[in-house]
Amino acid sequence: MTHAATVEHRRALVRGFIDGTLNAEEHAALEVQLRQADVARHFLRELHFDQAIRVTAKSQIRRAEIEAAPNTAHPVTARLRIRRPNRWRPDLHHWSWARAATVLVIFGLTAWLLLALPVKPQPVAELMVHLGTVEVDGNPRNGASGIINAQELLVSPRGWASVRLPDGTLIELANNTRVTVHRGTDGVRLTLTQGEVKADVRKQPSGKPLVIESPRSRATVLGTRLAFATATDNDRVEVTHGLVRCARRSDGNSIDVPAGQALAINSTGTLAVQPIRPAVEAIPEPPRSGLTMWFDPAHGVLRDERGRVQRWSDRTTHAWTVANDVPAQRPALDLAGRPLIRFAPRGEMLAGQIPWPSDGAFTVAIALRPTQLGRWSQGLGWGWGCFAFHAQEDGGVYAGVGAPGGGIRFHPGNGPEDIPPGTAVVGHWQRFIITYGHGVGAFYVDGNLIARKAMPPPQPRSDMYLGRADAPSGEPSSFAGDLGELLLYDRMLDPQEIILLDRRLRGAVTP
Amino acid sequence: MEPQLHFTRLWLPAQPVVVSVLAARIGDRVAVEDLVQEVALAAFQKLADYDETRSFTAWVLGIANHKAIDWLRANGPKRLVIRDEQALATLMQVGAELERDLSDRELALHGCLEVLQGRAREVVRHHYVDERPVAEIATAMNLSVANIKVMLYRVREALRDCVEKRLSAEGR
Repeated sequence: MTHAATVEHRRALVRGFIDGTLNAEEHAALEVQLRQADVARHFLRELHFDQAIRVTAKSQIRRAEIEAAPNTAHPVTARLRIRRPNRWRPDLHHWSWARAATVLVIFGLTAWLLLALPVKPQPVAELMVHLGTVEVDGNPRNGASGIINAQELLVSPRGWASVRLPDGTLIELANNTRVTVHRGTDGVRLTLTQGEVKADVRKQPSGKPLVIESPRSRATVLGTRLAFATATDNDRVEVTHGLVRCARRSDGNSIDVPAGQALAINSTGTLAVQPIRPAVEAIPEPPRSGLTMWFDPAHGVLRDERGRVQRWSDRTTHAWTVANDVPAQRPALDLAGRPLIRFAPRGEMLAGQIPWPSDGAFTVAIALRPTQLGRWSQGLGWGWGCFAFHAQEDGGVYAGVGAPGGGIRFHPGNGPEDIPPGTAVVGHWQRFIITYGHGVGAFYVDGNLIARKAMPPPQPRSDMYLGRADAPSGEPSSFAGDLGELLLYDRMLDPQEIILLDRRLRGAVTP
Repeated sequence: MEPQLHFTRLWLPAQPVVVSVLAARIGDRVAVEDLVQEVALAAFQKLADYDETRSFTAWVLGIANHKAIDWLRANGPKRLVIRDEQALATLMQVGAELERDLSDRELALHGCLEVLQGRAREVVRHHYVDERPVAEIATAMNLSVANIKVMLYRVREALRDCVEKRLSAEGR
């Protein structure tokens, strides 16, 4: 057999495998051939090419047919229905009227059935991969699947999803994102009603830009990389590459956002771009060993219809949750810079069941910005006998293993074991880290060791609070400030880890 | 969301290879779609184990291999599939080399299918969209089975040429 014939034979075997027409002998021959790298390469390319034609054709051809007949309820059926209609021409003169009527009825019924039969709609995008639950029009999806025109996707609170458009454009959906994908003759439109999408957009056809919109604003994209987030009080667009035109829908005002710039859009106010805030990925990750709780306002926040924080889930696999069932007592989520939870001076709180580590040792890390100091301000913790934290009027801080009557914990004062007045400062982001192990606690402010003292081991508790709305008399009742991040470890971190953790907190609250 | 974006960027070039290798191993198109998703999720959950100095596609093909073995144990092959160990090893090896190649071809194909017209478009529609058997297509188009096979062959060749031209025009 010549070389050309051999190659042709291999190709025929590969084609036969794809078409499913090989007999056992031919199949065995193919398997032997596939031991050679060049044949295996050709085989994979052909398998993939066939699959790619199938997927692409289903997307493009059906869509083109639907777009070509926008006024037809079921265009595909209609197209099939007209196949060879003229071949059958009965001569009614030779038929009885009864037969003719029967034929007409059959024709009518057939046509009605063909028009009435539901046509399987074709996908306009593909759900590539997801974690957690993704609901499509209210139905949970499991696995890769097509997204039909105008279907709505909802990503679960701890999930994420990746959607690809036929041209290769990649859309990332963050947790709690609700988005609808529309494809029309004027291009693709993503309607975002909550959450955040990030898009890596391929160059779009002339006159058919990709549009990402919320009820408040609209971003027109020709080919770029961007993030678009919508919240109750504003939208935010960040452009990494390319150029995006953003318009406020209420008044039509628009502005071009170039690469490296961001735009916050609210209901009124001037549209002005600003440099993109430091990327989340630039913030160092905290040490993971022993991390039992990690509340980060950039993750897991569910807001009510007023935009207040109804529930907040932590980033560990425990998914600890703090919540408030009373709408009037819910804190706010501020998205102007890096997200933060804002507690009013009195009466706002979140609480949940989060077990205190049972091993005795612990590390608590807090990034907060007081907005008002007072008796029991910036209160959080697990209560007396366990860990508690709060400040007072002069900026002195109480922290550690509290107990009725004062207990043994860090408290305001001027001794080496005390937290001096003025430690908590209104309007300043501050990082507090408290460690405990071997019977000794240590208190760090902005990465510096302020005090050490002996303390009893904390008693296990599981009622965690951030601020208090209706606290028992004499106990912390308010927070009055912004909470940037809150972490808990079931061990005492070492000095190197303290430095890393402090850098994490600093990055988390850098505007 | 950045870890997810990072994963997705690793996964997208690998996905066509995973699909092709799984198609060769288990032959059931629907099952392949399910397994691909399982592989993606398993890879994401184990991403911390992935050594960035090595090929992601090779790593994820290892996961796909285990998934395929499990599936075949539970379901058995539905048709003749590739079972020869040496052939499978070669497929896994060359698959890791092909990741960018297959991904680029898939995207280039989008522009090529749009220009298909007339009978070529019709036969693609019948075969790939409606997934009708060749004999049925022949009847529908008033042609012989051999004619349909030739048409499909020519369409594939035309698409292949188109893809090559688009890739070379884009300098890939």
